[in-house]
Amino acid sequence: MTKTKLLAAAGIVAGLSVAALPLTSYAAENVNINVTVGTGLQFSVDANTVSIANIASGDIDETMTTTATVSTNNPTGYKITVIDADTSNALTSGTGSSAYTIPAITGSTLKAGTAGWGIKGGTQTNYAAVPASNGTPLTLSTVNEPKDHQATTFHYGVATSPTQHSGTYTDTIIFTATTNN
Amino acid sequence: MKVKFKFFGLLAVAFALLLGSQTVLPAHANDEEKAAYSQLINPAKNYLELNPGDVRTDSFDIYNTGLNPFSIHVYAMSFQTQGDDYQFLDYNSENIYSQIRNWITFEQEYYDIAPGDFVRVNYTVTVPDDVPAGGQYSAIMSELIRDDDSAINTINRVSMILYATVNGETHLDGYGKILENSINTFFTEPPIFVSSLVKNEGNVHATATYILNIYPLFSNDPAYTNENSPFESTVLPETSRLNTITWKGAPALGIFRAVSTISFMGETSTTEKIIFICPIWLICVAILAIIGLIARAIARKRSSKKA
Repeated sequence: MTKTKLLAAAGIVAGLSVAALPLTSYAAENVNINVTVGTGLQFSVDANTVSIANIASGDIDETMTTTATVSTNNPTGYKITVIDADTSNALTSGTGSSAYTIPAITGSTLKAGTAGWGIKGGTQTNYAAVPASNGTPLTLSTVNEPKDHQATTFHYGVATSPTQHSGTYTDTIIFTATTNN
Repeated sequence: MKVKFKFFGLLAVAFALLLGSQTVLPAHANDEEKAAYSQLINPAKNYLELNPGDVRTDSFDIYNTGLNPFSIHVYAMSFQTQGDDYQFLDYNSENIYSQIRNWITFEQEYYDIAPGDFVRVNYTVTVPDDVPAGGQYSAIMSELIRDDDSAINTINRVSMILYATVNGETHLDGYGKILENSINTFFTEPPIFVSSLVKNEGNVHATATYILNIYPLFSNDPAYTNENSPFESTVLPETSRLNTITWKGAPALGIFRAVSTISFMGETSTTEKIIFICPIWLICVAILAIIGLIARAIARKRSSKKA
């Protein structure tokens, strides 16, 4: 009888010990895991240069495009803006007194025979001038949620005048990706 | 036993950190998906608390996530917004909230980065002794350097927005106004949305928090809620900001009770409204049916009079 009681008591103690073991272990060895995930923003533009092989004077060309791709985990998304790299937003051929230009578009429509160039795409549905570097950037795309490899294609339109001087007209523009606040 | 737990604990932390870094980096992108020139900035926004006279050093990383090596130029510009919808960003403005662009210097302004590699860009913010308290905002740019000569040359640039607060007499709670928290009654098609306008009359940025709950008319179980993950937007000082919260998954037909709550600079506004969503064609069919019933009733009445 005494032996049975002893065994029963030992069994209860052993059982309680085993039951308490994980609790004491966890209590002593809690590991808090804190992971801070930063806000990242990845941006690429498919081509560094866009060209037209040849455009006749008095003509319109709308074949040039740029595709910008953005990935971000920012909860409120991102914006893509564009601005000219310098204070002149015209396409320019030559320099100094022998420089010829295709000016930035005024209004939102290209007219055959009237020199002008502009950009559209994303949330910018009509052609607009790329602002000069001292202006306010043109917002081309606003996305209000996180995105992975979100591609947006922008289109360029160039119109030349009937007397457009022959040559290669160039300009440099900056696409900027910024997280929304 | 303890050693074993510690070992597994450390292993778990290391794994979690590894997992965390993988979340930011697009490690899954294979070469086919990669662009020729692609850069990733991390973090893309940073918050600093400064004191007059402080010299603070911080950093961000630029990853080359493209296929080709490239060089970058880093520099600081202003960061302001234009319009209530915050649609236009202004990197050139000069006002009391953009002085920080002149306080930022870089350890190095130009870097070369190989594909798959990254550089840590260290910058120092030297705060003058006599600056007023309040918000200071800058867009720190990382610009790819290129020298091509084509019709239109495009440059890829990413920015890190720096939200800094100079401690002192900052005006936060009590300096905000919730000007609008409105819900439309009728929608002819999804989505259902609520719009709001808040104004920050303080001298430092503040966060507006937007919670939208939409319940079926006779139930308290929300059909839509963002309560667990409220939408938040940063409102810069002396600006107003429009915001829209949208329930994209709304059905085409239904009657709901919408509750919109906005918290901003110590103020809270709640608007509750019964909303109807019904397609236009169904409204037309209903009107035609009613007209038909009325016409039929009139015709019956006339025929019964004649009889």
